[in-house]
Amino acid sequence: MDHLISWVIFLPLIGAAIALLVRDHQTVKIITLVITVADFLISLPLWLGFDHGTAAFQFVEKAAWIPTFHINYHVGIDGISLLLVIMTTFLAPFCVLCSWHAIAERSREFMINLLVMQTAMIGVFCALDMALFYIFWEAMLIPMYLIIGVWGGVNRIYAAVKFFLYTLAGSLLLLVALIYMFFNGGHTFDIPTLMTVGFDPRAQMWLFAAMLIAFAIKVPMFPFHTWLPHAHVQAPTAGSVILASVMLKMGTYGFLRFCLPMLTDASISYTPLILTLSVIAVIYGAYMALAQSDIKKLIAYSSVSHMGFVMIGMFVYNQQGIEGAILQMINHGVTTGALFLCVGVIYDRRHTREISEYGGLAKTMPVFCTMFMIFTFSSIGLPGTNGFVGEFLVLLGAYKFHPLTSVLAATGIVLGAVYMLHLVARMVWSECSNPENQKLTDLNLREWFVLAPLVVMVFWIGLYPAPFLDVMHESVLHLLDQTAGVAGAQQIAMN
Amino acid sequence: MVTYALIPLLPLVSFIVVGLFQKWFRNQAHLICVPMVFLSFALSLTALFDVAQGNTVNVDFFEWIPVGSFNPTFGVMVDQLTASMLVLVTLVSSLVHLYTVGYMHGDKGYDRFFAYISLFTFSMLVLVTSNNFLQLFFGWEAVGLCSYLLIVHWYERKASCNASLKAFIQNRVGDFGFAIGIFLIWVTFDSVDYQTVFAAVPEHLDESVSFLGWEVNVMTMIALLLFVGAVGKSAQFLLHSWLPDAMEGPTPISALIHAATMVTAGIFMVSRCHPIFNASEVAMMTVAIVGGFTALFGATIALTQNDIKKVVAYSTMSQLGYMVMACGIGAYAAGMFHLLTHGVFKALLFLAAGSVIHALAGEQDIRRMGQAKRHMPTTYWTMLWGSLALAGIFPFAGFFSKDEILWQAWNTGMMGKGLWLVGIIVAFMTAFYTFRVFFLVFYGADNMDHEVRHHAHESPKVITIPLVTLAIGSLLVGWLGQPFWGKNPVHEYMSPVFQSAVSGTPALQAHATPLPDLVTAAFADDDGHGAPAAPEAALGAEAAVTPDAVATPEVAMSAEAVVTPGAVVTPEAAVSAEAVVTPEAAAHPVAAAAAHGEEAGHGGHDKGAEFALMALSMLVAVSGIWMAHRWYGRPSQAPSRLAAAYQTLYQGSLNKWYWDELYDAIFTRPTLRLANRMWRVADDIIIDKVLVDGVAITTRITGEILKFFQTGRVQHYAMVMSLGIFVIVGGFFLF
Repeated sequence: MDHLISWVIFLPLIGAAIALLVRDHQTVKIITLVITVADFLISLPLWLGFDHGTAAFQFVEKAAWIPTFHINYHVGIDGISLLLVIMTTFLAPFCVLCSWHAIAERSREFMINLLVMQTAMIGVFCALDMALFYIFWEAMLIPMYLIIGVWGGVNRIYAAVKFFLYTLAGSLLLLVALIYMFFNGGHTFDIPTLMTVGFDPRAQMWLFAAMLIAFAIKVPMFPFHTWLPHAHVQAPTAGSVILASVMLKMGTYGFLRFCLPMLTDASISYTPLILTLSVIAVIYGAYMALAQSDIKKLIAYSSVSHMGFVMIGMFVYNQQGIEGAILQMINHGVTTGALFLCVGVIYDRRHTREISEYGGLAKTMPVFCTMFMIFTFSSIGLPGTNGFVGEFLVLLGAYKFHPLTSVLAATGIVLGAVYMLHLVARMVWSECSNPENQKLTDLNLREWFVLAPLVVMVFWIGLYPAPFLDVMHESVLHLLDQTAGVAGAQQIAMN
Repeated sequence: MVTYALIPLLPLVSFIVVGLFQKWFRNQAHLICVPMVFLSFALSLTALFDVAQGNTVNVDFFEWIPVGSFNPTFGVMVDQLTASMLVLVTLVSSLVHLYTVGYMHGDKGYDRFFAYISLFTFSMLVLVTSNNFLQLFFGWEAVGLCSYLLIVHWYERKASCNASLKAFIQNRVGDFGFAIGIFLIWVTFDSVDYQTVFAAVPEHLDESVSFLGWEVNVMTMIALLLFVGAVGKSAQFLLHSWLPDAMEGPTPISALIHAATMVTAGIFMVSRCHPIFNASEVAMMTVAIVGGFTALFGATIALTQNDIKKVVAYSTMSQLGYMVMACGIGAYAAGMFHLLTHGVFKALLFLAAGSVIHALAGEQDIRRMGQAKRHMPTTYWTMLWGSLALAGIFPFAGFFSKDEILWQAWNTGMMGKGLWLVGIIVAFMTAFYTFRVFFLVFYGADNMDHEVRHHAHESPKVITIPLVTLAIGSLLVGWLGQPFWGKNPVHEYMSPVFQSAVSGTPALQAHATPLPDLVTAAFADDDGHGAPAAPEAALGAEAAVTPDAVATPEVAMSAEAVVTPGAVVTPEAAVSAEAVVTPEAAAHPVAAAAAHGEEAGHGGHDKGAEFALMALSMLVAVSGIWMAHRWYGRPSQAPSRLAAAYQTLYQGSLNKWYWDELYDAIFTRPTLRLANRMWRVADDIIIDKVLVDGVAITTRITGEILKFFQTGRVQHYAMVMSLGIFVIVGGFFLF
């Protein structure tokens, strides 16, 4: 198919347009489901037809868009973005399915929001023009703002405004950086071109600082993370899933796409700071998770911890670390998304997220608990699950680069077991004393279809990750080449 | 080769089938699980004999995580060490499967339980058949998972939940060290494949890594990190307290996981990695001391426990300490031998204890038992055999393996003598507490509840058959390592592993008393007086000059002699190992004998000393039993009087030396409190409210103030403007 990428990006938007014309809520749901499944199916050829042997961008499409400002419609993918696109399209149908009954009011508008957001998210990963990137980047905020603000919980307005303003503040700094790069990089927004420019090292420091704040808020890195628990707790299940699985990856993707290849000198200089903050995030996030009594907050803080691993992997400048980081983005998307879906399942039944309200679910919901345990152990990083492969590669790469970073971060794998199993002990095990819990029903067919494919992914990536890693090799090696010139003396003294 | 792959896969098949189609089984899961694991056992036996022919196997099936030079695989390696573990694991697992049919009959989670023990069997078999460190780690954590899931089998009990959590987390702490050990291995050797790594050990002997500012020898560092994993998995001192708590799980898994197989993974791992451990004296010393201390520590607690399973659990901990100690002095074959015999008789003891508990309607307190001999004759005599084996009474299994370790310790220098002393004290305690339980349960005063006594009965056949099988095993397996005539068969079988060209020499034996007859005793049958000692490659060995120190050719010979066809060792490795050994030996003409010291004892005139020590330890064991009989065989006031006299010691032992309380005070409570404080103060108030919302509030307040200036009247703006000009111009003139 010609223009494959454009179809993948814009099919959801077309779907949204169709949905606007239909008034019936049920029909809109079905349309949305069909569109998201179709989008996933047409995105698969990107993976299957992906050439493993090159680091160049593939499936590239380029057309002049706003010639006055040298802005092009330029999209394409490489080994770094490919899997993120696939993950986004893969998760979308589950977001629709989990909202099937959970979103009772204005479900038509909700579905339209989902579709618009989908286009924006895929667009971010595929854009090869910085202006286009920025447009998708900002476009993504609005549907998310609405999803939290309209369909959220009790404190939804506070959470939505906080989410919006916080990320917007960062985005503006990003915009300044992009404009500076436009003028100093030969009047172009073209990402592949800008990668070869080589900005003045002193300017790089400022550019990096601006991008660091923008992306760090998105990741979120410590101490820019406090919007996340609010947003997660208030967002409906689908919102949490998208937020955790896809939106957080935008930040880490930004570092890989812009900072490392374009601002290499600055990346090296900032490495000690980033590694320090990330190690803090890993440990601090875990501690925060331990203190929570709200399931969603717990998982939100665990995201802070897990994204710390991703950040570490990217800034250790070796193949194991970076591939681990990319894989860990996918893993976090699958696993944390699944955990939020699980929370959605029980929230739909009990309408509470308080851990103390549950207990002994193993008795009444054995199938649900089995799946929840699988995702838990994936989150803990048990070998055989996806979480292990990513975390282990990251820590291995980190050890090669700077052993102390790796050792400190590795305490996160112990703490991860502590807070997740503590949650399990209170929720899944123990006595089923609450009468409300005694009459709970196990997964229905729809919920089963939402969770089962994710279980498959957990084990597939855990036991045979080669198909996922193979597509990255060339792009990651190329990225390392780009940084190698400067990162020759890699061992950066950290205190 | 394919058959070897089937050994772990068969239990996996039963797990998957039972796990996915649990509802269809309706408490009939044993129909698939039991035959599968027996088939696995049969295949393991063929592996055992096949390997004895020299047909070792090492194949990779597929690449697991291929990223650059990091390229671990899933594969199968079966050598002598693996084959013996395979047989032990599948044997105990088969019998436990069978036993479970009776023991868990009528349990709500019957099918689930079968699924999980099958999964455990698979994981354990993956662990032992691994040919690289990452697959080892896979199995290592997977058995931990199964242990967790099985401990929490009765999940409605609070105690089960806590015990499972504790087990997993303490194991994770160990795995943390283990994982870093693997990182360091990869960074040092650029590989995680056993064969490649072990062959390259001599090239990296003198490298060092910095650790918190200290320069530490890289082998020492790797060995210690790996050992942290072993400490967690094998419940050694400091990470031990999960094991007794794990007794909250159903008894069959206590026998299978927490006695015979999983907890021995640490010893297996150290033995498997012996080329690395051998290269570091510090690490070996640490291993030996931790092992010895754990043996003593566990035994002192076992003396006073009143829960039948807790006694056996602490005894397991103590026996694991024995095995670890054996590894520390370089007597790997002896450690593995004890692992095998212990696997058999400790599984028996647990299963017999389970049979007692089953018969007495769940009663576990030995103070409320007594005279059970009348009700359950089969359990009685099988438990007697198991107890005799644990106490180390000839001709039961424990006698052979325990004395082997003690004898090796005796021969390992001054430190070895100290460890021997510890060992003999522990042997006395072991005999005492084992028979304390035995007498309290089967003799003594009848303290059973009336109701319980009324229903006390012998267990069904499906329970007693495994007991009888294991009891016979406890009598026979010891003879595999008999020291009396000819060669010791276990040592003979294991020698290709522990005396391969990559093995190196156990570091501590550098200090050992020169033992005669070394090479000849090990590889020939005559007594060979005055045979020269082998050179010593250990790092940092002290140069104590003795006349017959240099004898490299023999080492070369021995190194070559043990390369069996198809073994994992390549001739090149053998050559490189010699090449390194020789100059080292020249540089340090160490007296030490004992390249293969553990063999030495069986040659020539040292038999006399060995038999004397055997007699001594028999005497010690018998006196322990006698004491138990005096105090518990019939009603006696002696124990309570003693407890009253030494109140502190008694309370200390009874309360496990307050280790749980200590951990609770140091780790558990402070962690939770810190997490809560940090969240409420640092995260919620400082970062979120003050900093983030602070920015927002400042913006709003600034806006609120500034809006008063937006009056919309031109006069105001003009006035402000002229004021401004005035200030600027004034300032300009002033400065």
